[in-house]
Amino acid sequence: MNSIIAMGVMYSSFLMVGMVLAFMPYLTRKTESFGVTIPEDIYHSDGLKNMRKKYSVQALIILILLSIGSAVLSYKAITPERASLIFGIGLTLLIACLFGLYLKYHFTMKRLKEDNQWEAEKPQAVVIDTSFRNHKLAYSNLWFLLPALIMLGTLAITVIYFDQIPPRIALQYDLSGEVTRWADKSYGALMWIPVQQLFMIVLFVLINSIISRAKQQINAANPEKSLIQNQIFRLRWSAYIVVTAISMVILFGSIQMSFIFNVHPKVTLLISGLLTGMLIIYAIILSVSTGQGGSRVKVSEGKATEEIDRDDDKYWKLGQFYFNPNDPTIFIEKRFGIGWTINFASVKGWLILAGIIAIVIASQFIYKI
Amino acid sequence: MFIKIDLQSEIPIYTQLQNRIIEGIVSGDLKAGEPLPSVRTMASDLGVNMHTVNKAYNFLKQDGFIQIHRQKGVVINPDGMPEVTSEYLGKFKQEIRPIIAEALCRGMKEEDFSTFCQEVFNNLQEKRG
Repeated sequence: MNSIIAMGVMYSSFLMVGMVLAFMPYLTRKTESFGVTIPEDIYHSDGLKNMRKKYSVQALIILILLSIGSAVLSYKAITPERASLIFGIGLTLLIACLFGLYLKYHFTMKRLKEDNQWEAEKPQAVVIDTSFRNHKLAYSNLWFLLPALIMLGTLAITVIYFDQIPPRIALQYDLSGEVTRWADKSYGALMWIPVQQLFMIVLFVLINSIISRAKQQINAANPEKSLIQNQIFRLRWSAYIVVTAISMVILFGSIQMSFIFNVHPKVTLLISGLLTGMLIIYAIILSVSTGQGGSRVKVSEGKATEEIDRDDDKYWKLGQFYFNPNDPTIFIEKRFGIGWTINFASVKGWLILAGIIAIVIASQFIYKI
Repeated sequence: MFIKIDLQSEIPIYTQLQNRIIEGIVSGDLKAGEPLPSVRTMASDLGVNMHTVNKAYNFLKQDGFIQIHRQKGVVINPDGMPEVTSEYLGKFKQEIRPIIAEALCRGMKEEDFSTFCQEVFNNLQEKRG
């Protein structure tokens, strides 16, 4: 029964991820279509409307087929490990198929642009606000003192109640709530969760700093409107990062508490299910209501100009990977997605990316018990 | 203040940047002591090479429109703007010469030339308020 609930949680996140990807053409900036720069009025043309619709329908068909297929296989799997392996393969396959579908539309779009020469008569400009970074773009990193306090609390309770902890602690549960890994009680073993919490806080502080530092991208066709939208976009995602940091630290803290106090594994499972579910739904609501770069935020109209954004398609490999050695930018908005990506021509960008991956891997392996 | 750079213009980007900042000072959009983005940030936001921004900032600094501090970063000169010096007059005459030469070549009359100059001058001074 438990495994059915766990699978329900896994596959509803599978569906939600797929849905966001399927409706991505509606969430990007309106100056882009399938990773290709376009003037905004073209975005609203019938041809492009049809393309978006077709893409979404095809993506949804892929999503339905893959989710049914892999859910059935997971359900029939002999062991819970096998079930989550199938889930992982299904998710990878989903992302790969949708990327393939995107590529097909990307190349069609490129050809369409070449044939139509939409940008021919319009002057290209880049607009920046010199006081952009004096505006509030992200919430203060001091907010992360809150999760840090929860981490310290977890640590304190562990030390105070150390004598109460049973001699054997359950480290890993499978999806049905059965213990699959035990560890003998020791300070070392009990430090695992606080260390995880610390790594997470560091990671989220890093992401929050990236949000305030990423490249300023104001639409030249309507700078005032775009400026406000972009500010709101950053602030909302920064808030999301703060909430995620707090939730994740609470989640891990509750697992640690379950070692010390006699908490039923179902309660821990419920807390983690609820928290992760909430975070996923929050992310989807934000993506839909805000759009990439704040493109879906309703603000007053501002003054429209004749100019359009610079066409930097040649720096966007496959429409999704930014590679521009002349641009000192490290972080830039994704084209076909929500959030930011790196300038792959920037050494610093690679180093930071490697750093983030190292943090994630280190948090898993540095503390082998 | 918004700075717009025209990417298809024949005027080099660093000159456009320089011109926009000076115009911003005249119009009061950029106030004395107001900070400007660092070279790196400005270059990243504009999506241009850092040398380009450096060049513009260096010219502005040499002429005394901005100051570049190690800690405070780049600011509009808080001690006031440079004055009309003989050095500047020399540069001014040198720069306006080809403009007048082209106008003459095209047969522009002196009074028209004066009117156009007056128009631009008044327009900028009005913005100054």
